[in-house]
Amino acid sequence: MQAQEHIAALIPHLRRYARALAATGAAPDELVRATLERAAQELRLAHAQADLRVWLFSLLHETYVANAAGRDVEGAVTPAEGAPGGAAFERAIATLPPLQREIFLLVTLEDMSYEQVAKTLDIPIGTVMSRLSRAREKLRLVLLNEARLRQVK
Amino acid sequence: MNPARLAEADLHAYLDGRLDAARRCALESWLAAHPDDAARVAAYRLLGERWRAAYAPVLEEPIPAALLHALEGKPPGRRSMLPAAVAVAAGALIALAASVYLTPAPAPEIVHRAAIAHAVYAAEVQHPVEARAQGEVLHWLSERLHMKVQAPDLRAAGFAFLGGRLLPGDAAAAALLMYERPNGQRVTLYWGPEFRQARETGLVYAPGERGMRVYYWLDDECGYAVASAELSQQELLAVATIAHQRLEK
Repeated sequence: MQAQEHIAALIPHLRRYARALAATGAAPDELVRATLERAAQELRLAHAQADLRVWLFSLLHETYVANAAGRDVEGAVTPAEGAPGGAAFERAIATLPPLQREIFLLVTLEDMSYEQVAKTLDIPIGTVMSRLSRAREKLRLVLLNEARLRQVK
Repeated sequence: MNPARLAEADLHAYLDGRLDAARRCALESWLAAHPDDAARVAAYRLLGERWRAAYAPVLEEPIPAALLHALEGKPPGRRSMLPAAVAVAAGALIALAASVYLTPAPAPEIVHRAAIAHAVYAAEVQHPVEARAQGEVLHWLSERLHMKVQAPDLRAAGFAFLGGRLLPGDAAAAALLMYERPNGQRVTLYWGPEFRQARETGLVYAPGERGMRVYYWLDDECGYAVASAELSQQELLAVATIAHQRLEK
């Protein structure tokens, strides 16, 4: 039960991450639901995890990648309407490749260390750092561009 | 750090608070001498702040029941197809395993009642509610339900209070409060004192019959259910969250 309670306590964090990621149109809560179903199936593994948060986010990552490959989660119908953050954030994040989105959001929203991000996404730590800098630069330029366009109007 | 060149990775590690003191000092003196890079760091910092602020409200949202069920390893909707005896046994198991995060499983009677009341009265154009002033109708309902019936302010979600009416319950009277948006969409808030229970539930989602959506919660005084046939689950969640907060504060 203990692992289950710890997982339940992390659900709001998984939802926030999924919401911020889901500029692709994938229903955020469906992503979380699929993640939690896998966590429930592999609950025995949860007890062996040194970092439960990294483990959960890595499950979410795998589900997200599987979805992005074109396979929708079962019953993924809820639109991301009314999502916080507004259209500007969603448009900007949508310009990034999926891996850069994930790295940027894990660092920014979850305040993960580069090592934790590397473990979560199963990539070398050097990749985390190089992609993080590309992601930030791209977002900066996209938002800068938007601000300029608004001034012109 | 080589003072002739900026290590891009250091700039980000600095931003994320992951540089040791010596390299932080070196980087800060680099930024002092290179305003372009300093401006870039400021812009990146702002990005982070904006993203965190934009998505912070998600952490405060109640957790949808479907997610908790998923964690229990129970697909939503599957339970209703089980024979009643098995469902009861499963319910007992869940209750046994329930922690503070887990909510009671079977869609309770209050969902059914609230859905019917909504279907019957929200469709009514002429007389959806009693023709009385707000204060008067709430006072009257409070007397009949033997508890203080309030109309939580839902204007933040665009809904204005329309009125209320008294309903029959199984063992005691119930009340229905109705709200309306300028575009004619309606939500109802059902008050059923007979559904009270000692252990508070928090907000629980229950899809009703024929596209009706219901969020309900129970406390030691009353059972409450917010119902709509027109709103999406997310919109209804926003309304139910406000009502829940106002009434449970």
